[in-house]
Amino acid sequence: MPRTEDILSTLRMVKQENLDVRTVTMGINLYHCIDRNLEQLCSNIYDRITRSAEQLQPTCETVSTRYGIPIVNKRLAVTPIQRIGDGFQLEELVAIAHTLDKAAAAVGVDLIGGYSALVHGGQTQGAINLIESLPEVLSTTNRVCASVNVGTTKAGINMDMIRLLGRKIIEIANATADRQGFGAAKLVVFANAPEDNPFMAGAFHGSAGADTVIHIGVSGPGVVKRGLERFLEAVPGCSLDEIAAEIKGTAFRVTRVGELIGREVAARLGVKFGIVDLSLAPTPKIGDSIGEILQLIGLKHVGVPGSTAALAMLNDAVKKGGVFASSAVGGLSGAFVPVMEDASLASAAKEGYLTVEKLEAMTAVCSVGLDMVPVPGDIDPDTLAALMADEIAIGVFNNKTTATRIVPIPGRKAGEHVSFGGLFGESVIMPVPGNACSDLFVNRGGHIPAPIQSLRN
Amino acid sequence: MTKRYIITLMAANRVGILSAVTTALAELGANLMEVSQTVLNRFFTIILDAEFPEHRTPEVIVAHLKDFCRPYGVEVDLKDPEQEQLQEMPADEVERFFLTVTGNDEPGLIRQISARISQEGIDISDLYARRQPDLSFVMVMELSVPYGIDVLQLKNDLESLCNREGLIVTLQHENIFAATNDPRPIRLLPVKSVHAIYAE
Repeated sequence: MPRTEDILSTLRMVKQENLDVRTVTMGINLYHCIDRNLEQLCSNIYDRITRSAEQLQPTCETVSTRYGIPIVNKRLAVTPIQRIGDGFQLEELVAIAHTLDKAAAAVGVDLIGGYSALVHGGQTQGAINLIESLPEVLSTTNRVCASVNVGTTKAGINMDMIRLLGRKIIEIANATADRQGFGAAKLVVFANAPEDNPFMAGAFHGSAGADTVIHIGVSGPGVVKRGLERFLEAVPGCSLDEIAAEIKGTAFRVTRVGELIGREVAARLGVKFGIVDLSLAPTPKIGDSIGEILQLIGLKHVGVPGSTAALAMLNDAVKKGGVFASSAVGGLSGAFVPVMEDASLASAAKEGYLTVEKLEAMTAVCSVGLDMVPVPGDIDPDTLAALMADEIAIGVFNNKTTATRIVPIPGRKAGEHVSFGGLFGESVIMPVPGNACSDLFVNRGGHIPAPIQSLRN
Repeated sequence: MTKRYIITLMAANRVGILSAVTTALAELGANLMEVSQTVLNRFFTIILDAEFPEHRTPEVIVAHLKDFCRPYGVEVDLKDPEQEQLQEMPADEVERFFLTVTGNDEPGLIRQISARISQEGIDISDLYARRQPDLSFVMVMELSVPYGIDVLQLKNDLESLCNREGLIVTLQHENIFAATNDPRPIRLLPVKSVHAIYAE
């Protein structure tokens, strides 16, 4: 029998500290669905998805019951649709998106990722069509999530597509104005996008993956925070390296839960197990927040001086604990800082401690980037593009993944409040200084060359 | 030739008991096969599986142990496995689950739970329960659950059995505790895939 203390401490993580598996995401290869006849293509895609994922929900329920670990979301990620739909017109791509939406609904998953294009080295006509179709797709589907990879460290940054995306994101927001621009929350713009990321809205199935694969996204801010609280009660005057060690221990256990669930779901479905993504993904629930962890470490508010250093330490400790726990760590694997989805970040934004500029700096040392950042609806499209270019440059030039999910809120100004409800949360709309001052830079277009890999200062 | 007996000894805990017990056993020519010892509320209990020379009778063993350990006031009980009906539960036909109950103490809880579990033919292979100084209750029960038992149904039944304010019941497969506490890599026994089941 395992030690009673071990059993009870595992139990405490589940029952009192919100430990759960945030997402089981099935990656599905769609390459063999390709057909030049649109109807046939859509039918192939629908059959492929519904057959592969038919047993995903019940299998997750069985495994969740067996281990007493809640599995919050079951999701799908498919081959980037640009690759499947190259050669089709805009309206035809919309039809493919509706097929994805229907297939996801049929197997009972809430989101399907992969309405995606990879344009870091340049864009095909299919990629342009896909980006042009985003306002219609994201306003007329419920479950489809989109992403565009606009830069890599090897290829540089495609500024033409960033410029186009600046315009499209505002169109998406306006097309979903009845939902306060929510459509833009389903589009991620990436640098160095990982091909095995299980988290939405940026998940897609990489072309180097197996036919069908199960990836896991663990949660963890709540567990890390409460573990740290207990530790700080026991050792109030502890140093930062002791805090880092404590976080590492928690990350180990959280990752192990993810790997166990992932391996068993995959084995029961008879498909390959992919990766565990260690990202600390906050939810708007009090106590399940990255910001609250930073506050525990010793900052009165998120965004004050020290925030970047504390976040860097947290991010690194999580990775170290997770990498020791599992050889299958992948995806984004870092702390997310989605403003709307984290009550403490949203409150710091409201009080003025957390600004877009400080957030951008913080993303240089953690996962993702300007994530779920609500901005004024009248933001200049070139300013929006330039803001994205800044975040993408952090990723490309530091050899890491970054991304943006900036949501212009139609008809609202900085300082006003916006709420999407549920997991998507709420926040004050954040001001973007220097609106309409970057147009010449953005409109030059072209490509920012790939960065030098030596002389790294 | 040898003969195996199962022996339990109980006494108020004092330093030197185990030494006295094992010395007495050595004098009887015994060899220990398995031992489990615990101290509960300052009382010492030990259960041992030991091998004796065939001619050593149960009466002699019990009398010598009692006699030698007289300063400790040890109570001795002996069973001959050959005289008992022993239940076999082959390891490859059961899975280990842990049932934990935490919360407000309430008389009769273990009785109700163990009654429900025995209906399913599930063996309780280990148990730890304790009322904490703050009067709350903790119980960890190791269950050998035969394959084919509907775990979801069992979990729901146990939850409704203990459906009282402040009582938390959790049923979890043992793998989760190995995964979260043991640094060795996760290994799963082969699991039958649902696709394979459909193909049959």
